[in-house]
Amino acid sequence: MNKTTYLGELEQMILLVVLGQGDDAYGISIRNELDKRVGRKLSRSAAYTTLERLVSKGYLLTRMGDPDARRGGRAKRYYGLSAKGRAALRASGRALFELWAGHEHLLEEA
Amino acid sequence: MTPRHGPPASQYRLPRLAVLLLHLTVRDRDVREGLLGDLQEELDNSAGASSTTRLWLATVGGAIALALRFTLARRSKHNDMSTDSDRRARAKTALDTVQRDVNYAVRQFARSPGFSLAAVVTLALGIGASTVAFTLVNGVLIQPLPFSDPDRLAILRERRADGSELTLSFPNFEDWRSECRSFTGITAIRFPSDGTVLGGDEPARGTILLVSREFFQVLGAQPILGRPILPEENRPGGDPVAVLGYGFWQRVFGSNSDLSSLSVTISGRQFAVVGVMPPGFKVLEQGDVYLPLEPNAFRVRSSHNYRAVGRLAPGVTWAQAQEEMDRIAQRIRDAYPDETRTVAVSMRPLRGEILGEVERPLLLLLGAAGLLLLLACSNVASTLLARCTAREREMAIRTAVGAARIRLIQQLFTESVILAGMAGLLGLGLSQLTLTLVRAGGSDLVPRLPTVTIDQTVIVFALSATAVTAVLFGLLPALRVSGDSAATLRGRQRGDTPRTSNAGWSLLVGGEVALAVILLAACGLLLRSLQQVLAVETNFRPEGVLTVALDFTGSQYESDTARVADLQELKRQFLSLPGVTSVGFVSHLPIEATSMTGAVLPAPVPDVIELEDAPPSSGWRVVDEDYFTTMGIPLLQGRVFTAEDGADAAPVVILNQAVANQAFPGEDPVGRLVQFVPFWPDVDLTVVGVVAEARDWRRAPGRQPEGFVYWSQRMNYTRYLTAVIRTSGHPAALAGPVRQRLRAVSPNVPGTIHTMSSLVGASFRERTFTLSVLASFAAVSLVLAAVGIYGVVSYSVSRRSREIGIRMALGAASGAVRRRMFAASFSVVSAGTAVGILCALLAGSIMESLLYDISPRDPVILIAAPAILLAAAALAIWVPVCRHTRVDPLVTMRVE
Repeated sequence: MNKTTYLGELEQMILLVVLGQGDDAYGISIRNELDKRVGRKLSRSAAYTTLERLVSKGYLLTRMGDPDARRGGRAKRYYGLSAKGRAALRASGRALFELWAGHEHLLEEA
Repeated sequence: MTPRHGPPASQYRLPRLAVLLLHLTVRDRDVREGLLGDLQEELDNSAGASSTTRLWLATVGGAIALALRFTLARRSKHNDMSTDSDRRARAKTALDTVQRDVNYAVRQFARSPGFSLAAVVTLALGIGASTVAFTLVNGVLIQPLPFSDPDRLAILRERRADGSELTLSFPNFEDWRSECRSFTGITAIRFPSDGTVLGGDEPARGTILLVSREFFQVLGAQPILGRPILPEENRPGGDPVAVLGYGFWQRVFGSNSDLSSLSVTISGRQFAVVGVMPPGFKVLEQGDVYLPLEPNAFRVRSSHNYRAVGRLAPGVTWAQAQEEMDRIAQRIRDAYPDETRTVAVSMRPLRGEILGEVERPLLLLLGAAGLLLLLACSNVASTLLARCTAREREMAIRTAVGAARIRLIQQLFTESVILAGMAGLLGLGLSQLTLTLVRAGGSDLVPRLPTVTIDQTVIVFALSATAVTAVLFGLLPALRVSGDSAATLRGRQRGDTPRTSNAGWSLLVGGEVALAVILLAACGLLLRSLQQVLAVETNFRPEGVLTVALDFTGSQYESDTARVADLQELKRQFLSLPGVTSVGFVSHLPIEATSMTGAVLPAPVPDVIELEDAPPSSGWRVVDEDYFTTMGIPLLQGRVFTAEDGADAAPVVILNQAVANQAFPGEDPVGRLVQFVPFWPDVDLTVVGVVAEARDWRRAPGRQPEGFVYWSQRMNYTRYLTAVIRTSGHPAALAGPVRQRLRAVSPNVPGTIHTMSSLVGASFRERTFTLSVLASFAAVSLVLAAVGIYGVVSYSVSRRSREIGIRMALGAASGAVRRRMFAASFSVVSAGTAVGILCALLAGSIMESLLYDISPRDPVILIAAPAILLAAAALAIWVPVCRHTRVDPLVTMRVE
């Protein structure tokens, strides 16, 4: 592949949330954060399929926590950024910053 | 999702359905565990915020969404390099595409409203007809009978050593029911009799069924109003009570639901009405009044007047029951060798007995409707195909500029689905309307018809018929356009017709023609059959006859002389009415079943009759001296009764031809002595005359042996007589004066007045019902075929207008061009006709049992039906051919 593939908007958001939550990011926390920070109410199905897609693309790593009685004896599936994920996020961010540069004032609200 | 007891663990259990769904769709165990854990956590978090049901729904809903998304994600995993927004855009495009297709289709329809309307209507006719047929078949044949567990019900008959079967005698029935263990119950039903029923505003004729005390329990049928006749009422000395049939209750008592105020009087006895059976309830015969049988049972072992229905006991097989019943029959035979010759019992499923007669016509109806649907589909397909060819250029250009073939197919398919959808709705409406009409017209003809409604099954059928139709004719045009676009464009420029499209049309038109020929032939056969039935000599003339059923059961008519005095006065009064030419009396009209049956035996009758020699039973009627003349029944030999044949004169009898031939084969019966057992036993009757067999439509064909006795010799049979009044004027106009005279002479005698023609008509409607349905099918199919041919030919000729123009410009005579065009299309139609005739020949045996005195391969029909179709087709071809060849060739060429 000789051209860079950029991340989609939702993918970027999710990767950023995972990045911010460090070791504690799992399905519910990620959805809650997205809702709290940017008001995006993500459906369960959209959230989990996107997360697993990012895993299969190698942007996210996962680990299982300990079984938890409050979860019916089930463990949490935690997500964390891989090196590839960090690189992709960086590339997408740079591209956006680059394009944004100098345009902020044009979009400033009156 | 029950609250859990115990340690801090989660409060609610995840719905099992949700767990199962995720197990099935999320393959990765870790992913699944994380998901389920998250679901559980969220469930507990929101616990208390909403109701348990809502939580359950939300969780299951979430699980379903997850399952769907994961399934889809797995499918597209391999080629999935796209981003989220791409995906959404694609979904949006797909929706937009559908929207565009729909808009485009609607515009297409609006541009040619004539075509759209024709397509929708023809298709709706097909869908409507098949829905009606399916509703009838479904309602009458497939859905269970109005009894509980109907498949355990058997109709029982006595069987003789020679294999002949006959109905039961009451003593045999009593033995059966007390001895057998294989049935939870057996009920006896007396042969129905028609009688005058008092109690409503007007005296009414009704069919009276006497039923034994097990009747309601065995059939598992409950009145919809009131209660059944109780066993304690159904025994000698029980309270006289009656249960009414629904239709009779509606008709005579105006659906009065206060049963305690109702009673019926039959034969001078009053019965309190205690119940009303549900609409459509019918066992063998439609009963108007159900009365207790046991108090009036005819306890003679050799008199077979009862039908029996038994309900198999749980766990008992038909074979076991058969074995036990045969054993019982043998025991009875051994105990009463002189009185019965029944050696076994015939057991048949009741369902077959009830539905047997209508099964075949209904299935035929279904077949015809299927053909009609096929016809409508191929019709619309051919029209659509023609139009599609018209749009070939458009499609070709669109393909040339890059439209994907699949898009064109999609779009045409959308058009078809919309057309079929509209047609489906219209068809459903049509079928609802038709059913209403059918119910109004044939409610007493087809068992259980009043209860038939369009239900969900039928709606599903109609919709799938629509869907199949959409595929059928949606695919053909779609495949047609997806050919080589460049060739189409080139071909179009040259203005000639590709051969392949002609082959497609030929197949469709030929097929349509063949289907129409089959339908026409079937209808023609039934029509001819009906004609044959009509042509059978009825030996009575119903025109100009008014009938008055009289009921002399009042207390003042206890003595015979009082009755006779009134009867004679009535006769005088009726005769004095203007236009009346003769008046006679009879106990049962030719179209009514007589309840008096027995055997005619040449005298001297031996003491012990060899039962094997007993003749089939004959019906008996009591008549006066003018009955035969008035009814127009021809006298073949001897004389009719005269006033000299009085009560004290030698007993005399008149036989009809059937019974005369049977009792005295090849001999002159006049002057011979006979006995009529068991109704007039031990008396020798002198045969004084032979009359022709007056036939009942309902029982034609077949012999109907009958004997007639003179009324003044059998005075005790004159309580119910029907006066037949022949007039030179219109009989219906006589009803008023006749009623007046009856009131004047015998104010307490109820009279039920009908014209003889209407009575005959009623017994005749059965045949016309099936026929009218099939006739309308045939008419519709003829119209459909003609419209289809017209559409196709019209288009194919218009496509060749350039060719026609050139030919005519070069000097071809317009007549020759027309003939050429005509011949091309007509040869296709002829081929289709030939195929249709062949199919009709092959399918003939299906029709055989429905036909009376006519072969299913009747040459007249097999020539006439195709001829009608060919004529219609010729017209449908000639009109467009003329239209397109009449124009100035220059104009055509310029347009091209």
